[in-house]
Amino acid sequence: MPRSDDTWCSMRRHHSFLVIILLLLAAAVMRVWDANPAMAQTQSIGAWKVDSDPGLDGSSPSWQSILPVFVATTAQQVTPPMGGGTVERVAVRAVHWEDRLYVMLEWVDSTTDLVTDRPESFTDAAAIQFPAVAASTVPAICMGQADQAVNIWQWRHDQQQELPSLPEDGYVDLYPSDDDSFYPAREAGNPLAQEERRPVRNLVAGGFGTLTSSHAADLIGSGIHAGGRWMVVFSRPFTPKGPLQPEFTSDTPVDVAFAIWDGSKGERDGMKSVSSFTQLNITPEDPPRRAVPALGDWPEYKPPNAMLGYVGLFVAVVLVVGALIWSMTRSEPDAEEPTD
Amino acid sequence: MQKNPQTDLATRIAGPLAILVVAELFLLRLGTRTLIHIPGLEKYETPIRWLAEVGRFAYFAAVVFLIALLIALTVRRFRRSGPFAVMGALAALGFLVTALAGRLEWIQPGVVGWVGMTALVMALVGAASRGRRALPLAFFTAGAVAAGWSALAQGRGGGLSGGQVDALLIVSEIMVLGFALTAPLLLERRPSRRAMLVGLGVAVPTALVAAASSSTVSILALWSFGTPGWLPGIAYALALGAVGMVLWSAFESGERQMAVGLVLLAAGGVGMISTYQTGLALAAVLVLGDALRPARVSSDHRLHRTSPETSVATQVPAPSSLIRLSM
Repeated sequence: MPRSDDTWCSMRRHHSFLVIILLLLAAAVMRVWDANPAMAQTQSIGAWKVDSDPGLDGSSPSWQSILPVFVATTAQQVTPPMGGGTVERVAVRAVHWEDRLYVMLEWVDSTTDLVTDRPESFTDAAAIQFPAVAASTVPAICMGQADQAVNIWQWRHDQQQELPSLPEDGYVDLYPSDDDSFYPAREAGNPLAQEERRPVRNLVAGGFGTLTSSHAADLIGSGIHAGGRWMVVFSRPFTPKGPLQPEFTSDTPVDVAFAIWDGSKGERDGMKSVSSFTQLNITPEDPPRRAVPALGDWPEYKPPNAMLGYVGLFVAVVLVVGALIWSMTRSEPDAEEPTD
Repeated sequence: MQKNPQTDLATRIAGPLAILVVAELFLLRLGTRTLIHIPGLEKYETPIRWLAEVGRFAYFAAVVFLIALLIALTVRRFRRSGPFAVMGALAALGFLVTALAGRLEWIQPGVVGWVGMTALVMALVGAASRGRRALPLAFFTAGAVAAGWSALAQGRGGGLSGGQVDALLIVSEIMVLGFALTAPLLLERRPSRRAMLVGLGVAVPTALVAAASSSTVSILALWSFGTPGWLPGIAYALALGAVGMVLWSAFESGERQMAVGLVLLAAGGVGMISTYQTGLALAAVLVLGDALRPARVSSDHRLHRTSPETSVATQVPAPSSLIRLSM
């Protein structure tokens, strides 16, 4: 006796319900084992092996000859009242030498901003963010998560400048007491108020309101401004000295993101240009190089495969134009015609 | 009428997937990541961690459902056996296989990326046979190709100039805008006045939020959807408003596959971020391609999709009944 339609529909619903339950159970098992079937597909940046110390001078030929990866940032073409984000693109280069990682950031900024003696003055700065444990995760940790820590390397121009030397007949008024109780910021450990000025700071954030400065002095860095651009180099050994910092190895790609502040545009704190997450890959290969360019080369320099970018644009435009032409020349198929 | 349990399964998996994707997007990618940066919310750390855990489970469930949907769509397309249907099936199958191989580190990540982009284009070609209603999908796919090309063509260093990267990304943004503004073409009927009001209700707050906190909005959009936000904020407000109007209209008129496809497409984004998001975009193009199939009227005067897979007559469910979409 044939089954009725109602029975068939009921069986189908039960079958579908069972499949959904099984899929949810599979998801729960995967969550428990943290077995993520997805992989990251973000822009990859090679950290190439070099034979000698590349140094912290980003304008040197040893750095400028390396072909960079261009990473887009959240720059605003139109700046609303709250603003934030005026640097459209940052060029990234990375190398390693004797188990020490070097990362160079380069971006266009016509002014050098370091004076922060007024509430309206802000410094140029740059930062690199890693997850506290070297990994490339999906979804990426990004600005932070409730259960994940991040490590931030920050360079500030105002912390790099040497204090001006006094002329022979000059003098400076100093507070008469040297007791720490009269210097509350210094006493509280504010890294910007310490007597020893360091251009880069190593920050760790382990959750709500826990952004602290790591006191490990293994992170070094320096910035050079030339040709209307900033060139900032960060460097740290593969193995960190403090907690909540990633250990770099050639086996594991690491998520990394970049942030740039242009002080002359009033950028500070959350008002900045931020890149999407990319992957840093430590590799034993030599870096791709070109003839050393002039510093005025940015941003028009020609990469080896200049046609590659134009092909991509061509493909994208062809898709749309082709679809337009196809849609205009083809009428809607009749409802009674067999399809496919 | 023949009933096909396997492809009925595709339709029935897509609804729960859309719900899980929305939960993952709002809880994990957007919500809890923003909350932990708001001063004064430390006292809510525990509930926020719980929300993040729920969002993370929603993510894993979404990935599992996505894999199942792509498999079901592959089977459905192979059973149809027309050239465009087979093209879509090969797209889904090729992407699944290379994504798995890439995850197991059997092939380079770049190969997975190029295959993903090719799969999107193949799925689009299958949908383009439906005429001008597929134009929004062409815009979206072109945007995804441009964004993906800017990452893949650079490799690990030195493939493109800065100007070329800029050009590809601005083209991607314009294409995304084109997709959103032409999204009403996906609908069978004109949007109702209520749907237009919903669109306006989405566009206006978006414009205000973009103006008030443009940096935060841009960062979230870049990390979640792959758009760097280089166009004026009003453009994104118009785009979101148009998509909101189309989504509401699809719910109102019972075009369930259309609504589900739009949700998956929006959550997938155009950026080359992960195989999860690329898979969402691919599944969305395939689902929307099926939703664009013309309807036929059977002898009992009920409206059915031409394919034998979906045998449910179109109805007009209440827009808020998201749960019923999954049954």
